[in-house]
Amino acid sequence: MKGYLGSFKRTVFEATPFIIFTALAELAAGNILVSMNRTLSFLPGILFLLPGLMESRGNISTSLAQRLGSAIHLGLISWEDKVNEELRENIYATFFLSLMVNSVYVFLCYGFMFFFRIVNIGLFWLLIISLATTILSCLTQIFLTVTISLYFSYKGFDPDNVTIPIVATIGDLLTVFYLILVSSLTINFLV
Amino acid sequence: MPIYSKGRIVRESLPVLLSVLVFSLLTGSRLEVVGRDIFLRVPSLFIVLPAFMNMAGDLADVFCSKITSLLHTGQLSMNFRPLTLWVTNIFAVLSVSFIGFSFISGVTVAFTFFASTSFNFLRLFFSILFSGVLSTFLMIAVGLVISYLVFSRGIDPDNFTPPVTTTVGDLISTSILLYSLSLTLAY
Repeated sequence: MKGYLGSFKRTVFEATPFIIFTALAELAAGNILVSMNRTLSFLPGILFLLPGLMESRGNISTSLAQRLGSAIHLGLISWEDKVNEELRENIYATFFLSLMVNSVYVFLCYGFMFFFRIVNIGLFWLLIISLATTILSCLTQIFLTVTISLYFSYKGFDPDNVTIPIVATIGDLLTVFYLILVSSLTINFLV
Repeated sequence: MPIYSKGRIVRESLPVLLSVLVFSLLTGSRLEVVGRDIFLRVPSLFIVLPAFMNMAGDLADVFCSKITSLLHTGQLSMNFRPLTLWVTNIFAVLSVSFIGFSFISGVTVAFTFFASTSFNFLRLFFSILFSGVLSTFLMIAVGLVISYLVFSRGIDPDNFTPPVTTTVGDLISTSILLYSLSLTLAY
């Protein structure tokens, strides 16, 4: 029984600070979203894009961080090598996957909204907003992921322990920030 | 000849990434159809959305990762023995969920307080907290069933469970939060 109580305490004490830290970063992303009120009233359909953009960004960049961690451990890439062929292949694949998955998502969203007669700004503008957000957040995310992975391994840290939590936390902030930025710019063309 | 090739990375990643989009689509439809009115009425509630969506999924991942490690090392058996170990892990994750969602609820109430004065803040606090703990409980159940089914078929649950719990978690937690907020705003 004492062992179970120890396991309970350990889970609570180790997981809580991490969960609170992540919540703080996500609340910052939420804070940016608060400014979306004006955008929402002018651009119906934008909320539809949010979960897909955040989720695919998270899945794709976490996979990139995992692959880079393995590549560093295998000695295929390093801080000294800078951008070699192994790294370039990973970067191209991540960029292509982001564009591909988010484009498919926009078509699915539009189809869903069209079928259920949900008011929206139209396929063209949804695609423009989604692709611009994807390109901006993907390029920033790739740059940060590669730099963090290589730099921390150069400094003697295990990139597997460091990169994923940092990348996952700042990724949502980036996506929300760029979505608001692109949507706000789009309003100027539509209104 | 590089070990990593963009073609292989795309070929292996694309099917999973496209299949989980269905859950994102359903979450998006909930947000657009139900959430739009709520957030237009009380914009400060936007603050809770990303944190809420991620926390339930994160906690389910923590639980599944612990359970699969215990299954892999043989400390837990497929017939739910020892039961105390299961219960301990479930209560530990629910306790973290209670602390985490109390924090999120507190911050959201504080922001809403500064933005609006005509609001029942106590009801808002408990509605977010209750939705969060309920979402975690449901996500634990989903993660448990998936881990069990996958493990019993000889597949490593570590490769399968996280993307599924994260995306299904978004759908479950967003639906519960929006339903709870719409009830809170209605009264």
